[in-house]
Amino acid sequence: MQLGFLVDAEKCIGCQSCEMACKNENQVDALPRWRRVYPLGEGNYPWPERNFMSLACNHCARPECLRVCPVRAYTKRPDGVVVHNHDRCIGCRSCIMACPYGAPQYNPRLKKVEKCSFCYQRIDRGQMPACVQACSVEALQLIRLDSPDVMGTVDRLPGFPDPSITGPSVRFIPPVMGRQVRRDQ
Amino acid sequence: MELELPLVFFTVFTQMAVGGFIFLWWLGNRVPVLSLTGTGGSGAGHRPERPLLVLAGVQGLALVLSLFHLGQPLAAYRALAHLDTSWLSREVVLTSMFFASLAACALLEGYRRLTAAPWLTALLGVLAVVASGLVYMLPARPAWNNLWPVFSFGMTAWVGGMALGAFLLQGMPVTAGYQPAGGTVPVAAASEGGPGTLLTAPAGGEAGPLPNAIRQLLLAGLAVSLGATILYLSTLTGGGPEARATLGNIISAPLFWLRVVLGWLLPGLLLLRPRTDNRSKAVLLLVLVVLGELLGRAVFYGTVVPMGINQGF
Repeated sequence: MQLGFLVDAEKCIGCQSCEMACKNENQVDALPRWRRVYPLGEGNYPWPERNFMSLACNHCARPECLRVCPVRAYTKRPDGVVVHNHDRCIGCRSCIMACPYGAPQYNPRLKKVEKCSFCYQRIDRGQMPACVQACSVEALQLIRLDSPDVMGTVDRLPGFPDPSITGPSVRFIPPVMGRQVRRDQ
Repeated sequence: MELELPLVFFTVFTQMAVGGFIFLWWLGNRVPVLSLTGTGGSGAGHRPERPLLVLAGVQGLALVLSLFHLGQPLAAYRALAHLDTSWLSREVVLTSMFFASLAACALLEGYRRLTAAPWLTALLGVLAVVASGLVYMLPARPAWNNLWPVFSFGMTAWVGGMALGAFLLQGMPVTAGYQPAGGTVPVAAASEGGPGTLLTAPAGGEAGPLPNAIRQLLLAGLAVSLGATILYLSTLTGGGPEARATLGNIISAPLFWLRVVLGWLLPGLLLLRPRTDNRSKAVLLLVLVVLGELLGRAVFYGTVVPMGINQGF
């Protein structure tokens, strides 16, 4: 089984409620941002669109952070969640270099790395991750990648690094292109 | 630009210690400058071998400085925990083993005279440099995701190690006409004006073939290092957006051009003028080469553009 995030770029309005809920739930310091809302570049589509993608750790199928970490701080749970053990971390920042998505981040106050935990404690209690629960437009959802949830989704949007490197557990619903109406002459 | 200074010093000093050891060993097989290979030399008694002691000191300093990179230096021992997939773990283990073997060579007469000791030390050193380069071969850093880190680290070992080794052997007397198994190796033309030293021609004499060989080998190292860097930078133009951005960062970095002058051009010019005073030349050469390599490594860490969300768009 592999849990993942579904990001609906058509629904997302860039309100950053997911970011705030993440900070609130996990009491994250100001600087590390476990979840971030990125704008989709307006030049990526045939005509200007204002869309967003909300991203955190992608709990990859082949996590580079887990491979390079010299202290075995990373483990992958049977449900696919990649957990970072804060107690083992020595702040060497190898994982930061290896992750294509900038998910692990250095906390200068604690002098250790930290990242999104998928709110696995909440999942174990049968609850949704805080970011998913907080999304007012249901643009962010928890899905199983081995289920029909993934039908009609894509594995990348413009600006998202090549998924073939680590197999990120995130799927997207791309924005629907508007129609440009104009007089030809 | 994040220069990652602890890593800069750690990697450059480690590579210099490895290269310096291999250089001294290679030289020790030709002239009796060290007791490393059982050929006698200055370490005839039960006392530490001074050049090897300095190399071990450089390597020890490198290991201590590497701790400053960590957020939790006191927990550094935990970095040995992931040997099965983490190149960083392997680098730490191999570098520590190289340091232990090098220190044993410097301090223990019995260990130093074992036939296997220099072989083992050199092998551990080479593996440590390779492992160190492979730490940076990461798909998320396209400009590094090739053999360039390993190659450039090896070049630092070659150039920096030889400059350090030549400096350490300054003033060390060598017997002209020493005869190893293969026959006579003229070191310096010592027939007139008293005994020569390894890199210093005797008064009124010319440097012999060996100092010339060292000079040419060092010059070749500088040329290969510079040529390979130009080749590497040209390959970045054909890479993805991150590799091209890295190239832009490198060639627009003043530190890189300072490195070109201090680390390649000036040492090259110095070596091309063999008649200058050798003692001050070896010091100046070491200073220039070390500065050049340190700057080059700072540019290596500071200019790389990682993959990232919206990177290159």
